[in-house]
Formats: sequence, structure tokens, C-alpha cells
Amino acid sequence: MPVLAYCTFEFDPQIRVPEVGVQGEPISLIRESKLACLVSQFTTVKSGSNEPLREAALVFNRVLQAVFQQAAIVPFRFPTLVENEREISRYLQERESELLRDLHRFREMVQMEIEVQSDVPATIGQQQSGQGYLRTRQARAAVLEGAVSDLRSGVKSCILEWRTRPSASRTRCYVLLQRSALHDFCQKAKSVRLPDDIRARMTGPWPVSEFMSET
Amino acid sequence: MASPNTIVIGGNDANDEVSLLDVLDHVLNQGVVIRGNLVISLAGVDLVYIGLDVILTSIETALRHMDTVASCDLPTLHRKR
Repeated sequence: MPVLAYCTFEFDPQIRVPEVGVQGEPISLIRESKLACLVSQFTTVKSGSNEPLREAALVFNRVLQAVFQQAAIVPFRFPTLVENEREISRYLQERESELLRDLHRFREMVQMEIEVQSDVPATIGQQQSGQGYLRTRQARAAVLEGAVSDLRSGVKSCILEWRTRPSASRTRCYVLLQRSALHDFCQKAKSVRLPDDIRARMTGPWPVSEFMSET
Repeated sequence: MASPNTIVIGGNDANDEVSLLDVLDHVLNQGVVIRGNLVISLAGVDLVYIGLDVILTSIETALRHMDTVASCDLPTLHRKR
């Protein structure tokens, strides 16, 4: 049976780990040196509905949040499945120094995410020329970029790092900040005035994943 | 007068339908991931190779992955944001 991996954290006997995880399976803690990783058995979903998988993803998130409230974690993306627990042990052994470095660095930090989206349609109209379409897209991108820049300026006094991932219709912003600065950050972000045709949605706090070391 | 346009605060605890989408979007798109190719085999013959990054981009696709994963060779772990 495949094993579902939840997250890695620095082992501490005081950290309370949820007993039950996805699909009601008991959660096991795999320990390697200073690291711990949570896993549970996972049965393949045969239903024609998305509901079991959606429920599984929500339980997965609850497990992550339960540990994240007590310690820094390196989350796995859902659904990360491996053949057996030995695969996880090997992973922890191979990545120990890098994982510990990240966990120490992000110990008191959280990640917030802001998705900035333009309401201006970018589709080509029947009467619109190719050049007109490109101009519309360019104007749309400029408004989006301006809104992202305003947001960043509005919160810069309380953040540590800011990254953006633009796509055709939206820009995702990832913000690294101290956990203690969270309230201040939310207040400042909420006070930023955005153009009428821009929508911005902020979520978090999440475990830091966007700023982890590259391998 | 209309209220000024400001940022909307979502969540991470799936208390409403929108926050549910935020949570699903996040757990499917952030974190360490198995990176590589999934090989779907039947009777010892490799039939399909699928990039796992593609599989993990949507819940519908992930559901299809769930249906097939039992008969798959699982790749080894690599780090990825």
C-alpha cells in the first residue's frame, strides 16, 4: 500500500502530532537523526466523484496546520505517495543538512500569498485587430503590474522577502514575513487601494515553501 | 459612493467554499513533490509516461492519478518548491 507523506520538521518530543490522518488512517512519525516526517497509509480512490480526494486534501491540510502551529515544517505537495516508509527515511538521510538549514531559517516565519487578477477581458473581439488585441493585453499587464507594485510598497516595512510569479491573467505574490509581523502585515495589505478592475485575494499564513532552498 | 477596492482576505482553514478552494489550490501546488515520470504498466509492458508536475496541477487530474497509482512504479523523491 502506498504511503502518503505530509511534512518534515525538526524532531521535538513536545510537538503534538495528530493521531489520525487522511482516510482515517493512523499517522506514523518516521524519525531520522534530528528530523521527523509524518506519513500514513493511503488506499487508492476508486470513486467516480472528486469528493473523497477533496476530503483527503482537506484532512491533509489540517494535519499540516496542526504541526505548523507548533513548529516550522517543510510540507509535501498533496498527494505525495511513496512505496514505503524506507523511501522517506532515505529522503531524510539524503536531505538532512538542507532540510535542517531551511527549518532553522524559517523557524519563526510564515508565508502569505496574494493573487492579483485583472477583470479586463483579454479575449479578442470580432472588430478588434491583432494590434488592438496586443495593446489591450499590454495595458492590462501594466495595470496588473502597477497593482502588484502598490501592494508591495504598502507592506514593505513588515516583510522579509517578496516573490512574484506572473502568468497571462494574474500574478501570484509570495511573501515571507516573521510570524510576529502577521497582524501588522494584514492591516497594511488591507489598507492598500487597488484600481477598480483589479481583484486581489490574500491567503495564509502558510508554511514557508516558496522560499526554500533549491536543489 | 462605492467603497474603495481593497484586498480580500481568504484563509487556510476551508471554513467557506472560497477558502476551500484556497486550501485545495495550495496543497496541490506548494511543497516538496515527487518529481519525475510516472510509468503506467500493464502485464509488464510500459504503456504511458506522465510528468508528475502535470498530474498534480488540478484535483481532477489528481483523481485520475489516484485511480492508476496502485499499478504504477513510484519514482524517488526530489525537492521542488
